[in-house]
Amino acid sequence: MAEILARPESLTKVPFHYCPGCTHGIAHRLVAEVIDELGLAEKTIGVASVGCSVLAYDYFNLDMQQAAHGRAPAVATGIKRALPDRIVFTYQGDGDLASIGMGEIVHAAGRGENITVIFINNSIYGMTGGQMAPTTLMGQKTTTTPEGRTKDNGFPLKVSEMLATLDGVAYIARVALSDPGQVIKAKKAIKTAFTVQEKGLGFSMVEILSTCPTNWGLSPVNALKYVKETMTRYYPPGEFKKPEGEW
Amino acid sequence: MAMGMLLAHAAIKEGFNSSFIPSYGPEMRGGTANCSVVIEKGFIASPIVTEPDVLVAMNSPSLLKFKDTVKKGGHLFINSSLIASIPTIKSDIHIHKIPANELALKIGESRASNMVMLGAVLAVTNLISLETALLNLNYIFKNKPEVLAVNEKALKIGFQSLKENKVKTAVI
Amino acid sequence: METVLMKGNEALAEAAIRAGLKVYFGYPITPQNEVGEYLAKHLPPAGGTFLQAESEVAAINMVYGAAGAGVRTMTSSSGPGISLMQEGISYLAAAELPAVIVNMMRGGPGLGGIQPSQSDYFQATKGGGHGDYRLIVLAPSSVQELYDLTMLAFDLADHYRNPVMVLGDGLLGQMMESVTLKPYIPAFPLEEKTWATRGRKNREPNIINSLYLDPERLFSHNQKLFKKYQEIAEKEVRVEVINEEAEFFFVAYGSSARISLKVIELLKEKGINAGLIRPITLWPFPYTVIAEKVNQSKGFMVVEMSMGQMVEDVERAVKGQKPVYFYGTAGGIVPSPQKIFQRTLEILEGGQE
Repeated sequence: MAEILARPESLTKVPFHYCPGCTHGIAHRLVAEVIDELGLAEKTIGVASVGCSVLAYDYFNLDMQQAAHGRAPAVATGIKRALPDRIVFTYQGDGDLASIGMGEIVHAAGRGENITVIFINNSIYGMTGGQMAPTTLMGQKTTTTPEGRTKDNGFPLKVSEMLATLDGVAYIARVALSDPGQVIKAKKAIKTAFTVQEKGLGFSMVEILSTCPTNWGLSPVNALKYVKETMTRYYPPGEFKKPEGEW
Repeated sequence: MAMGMLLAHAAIKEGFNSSFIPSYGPEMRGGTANCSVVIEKGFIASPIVTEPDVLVAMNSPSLLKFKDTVKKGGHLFINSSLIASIPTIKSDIHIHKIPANELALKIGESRASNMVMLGAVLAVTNLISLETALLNLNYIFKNKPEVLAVNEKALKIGFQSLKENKVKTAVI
Repeated sequence: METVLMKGNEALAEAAIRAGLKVYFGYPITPQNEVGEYLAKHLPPAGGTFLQAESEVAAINMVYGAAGAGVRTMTSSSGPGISLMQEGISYLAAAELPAVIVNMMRGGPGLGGIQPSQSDYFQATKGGGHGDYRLIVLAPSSVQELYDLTMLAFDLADHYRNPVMVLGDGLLGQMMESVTLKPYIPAFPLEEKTWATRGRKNREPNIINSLYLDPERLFSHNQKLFKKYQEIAEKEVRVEVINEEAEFFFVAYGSSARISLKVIELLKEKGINAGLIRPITLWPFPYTVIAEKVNQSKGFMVVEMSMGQMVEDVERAVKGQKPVYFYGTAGGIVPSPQKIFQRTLEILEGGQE
């Protein structure tokens, strides 16, 4: 019997520990599929960060390094500078990338570091139990903004828009894992990002709007609806920067 | 600094061990920039110089700061072009006054006063030979070959100032 | 072999290149800027990469990535920067990654100053970062040794898969001294780094990691690390003893050891037979070598450019059997041999208190 849906080569057989309705699993799968399709598995090194995806090294059937909180772009820089002909990607959440690791991501992008960053934005700290993230929307309730985020807590950061202003950046896109059509778009963006790296064009990043049903207090279905109807209003999907001309 | 570095470098060429410690940080930007050089036949115990055998003072602040540290029987070289009034100095050392800037001007380069002083030091102390110093000048001026000639002249004129004209040397 | 006059910071950078340094990451801080400057100029022609990181935090994590990729890598800094690196150093130790970290110590705490100091001894030898781990800590006391020990640092790091710190000070870094540029000869056979993450071609994936959520597994990881540390402590203690038959011993490392040698010369003129125990590895510390001198020595004088840090390890070695004296300066003041000499004379002539 023909296998219609198989596990990508670049994923291990370890079952994900993610909560029901969480889109980390989809994002993992998309990255693995892209690596398989581009034939990069044997030359790819992934960098796991700190947060819900801290165990990503268990799930990707790839050489992996686990980085300190926020430092994945620096670790990836170290790997890429040591082995320039390899493919290096980081997989980071919004707390890791946009809060504690803002310095590292900006400078990796500014240097045009030839790596790919998968940036999971679910607007909350998942692993530690639902605290405010730098990406938490105005009015959004978290355990540290019990009455909803106000301007006293500052405003949510639009990382893709910020980084797209930098000369070192080759490709930046924001996608949303809210329905099958969007998932297909997400995969396309991830594939573009890895291809940009393969061609040595510079820094590439895909921001993936993701769900956190557990900490949002929503059912999986309503969480997907929240991504589509609420998150994308503040964080519009799209390609913010891509290489010009033929590449 | 260049003077000390040349001395330390040339000493190695003569088979000695040597060390050179520069002052760094804010002192480099004026005041009493200084360096310590140790030249030894064997292993250098401490590269820190607290009682020098030879002290070269290029300006007044430096002279005031270090004049009392010279070891008994040691030599103090004073750049008399920049140090007009000489303070009281202990009597158990040799004092040499060299108008280094004037001598340097004579050969057309006032900035070469340091090499004039080094020439004078070599004339009195024989730490290393003048020939070795001349041969190794390019160590200091490797990026500026155009100033090599004038610095050679400076070393020589400094050397001669004490070798041939003992009048300016006051040995107390 | 060529003998040249070289600045300490540059000699160590040259040694690193010759030992096969592939990538260097660093952030400017006085008094070690010449390390990065030298490498920026000379590492690329030797086939390596120099990268100025945005911070010490980034630099040490770049080192982590490169070390995990299986190449020789290094960073250098001074006190305040080394403090920022502590997180990364803990991760390097935990993930058993070989890397060389240079600390050209300056006066602290806080921003402190830029003049030489030895006040990061505790930080280097007793932890610094979080968790149970050890760094191999090498303490050069001359420009020649900065050169030699930097080469050794890479070998020790690779052999034991452990970060190694070269603990110098602003004086050693800034001074110039004659140095013989010996060719690099590996201290251990160079082994292929089969554990490195270089792409999983023809094998199962390699993982560089320090996370063990299961307490039993973390405990056994700790035990594994400490078995390694025990082996290092047994095999890698390095120490120089000058004047084995002395009746009184100085204990000092780095620049302080050089100054102590001068004091020993001055004491000799007074007919006092003093010697020096100079730890070259600060971890592992030469407890046994010091203990062996307890019977013959009237006491021990520890000289440090700090308010007293290594003195605690000397006390541990002497175990109260003989007096342990301390002479320290801080803030960037280099101790004067004459003053230490005077103090030692007072102690020896005034009897032991």
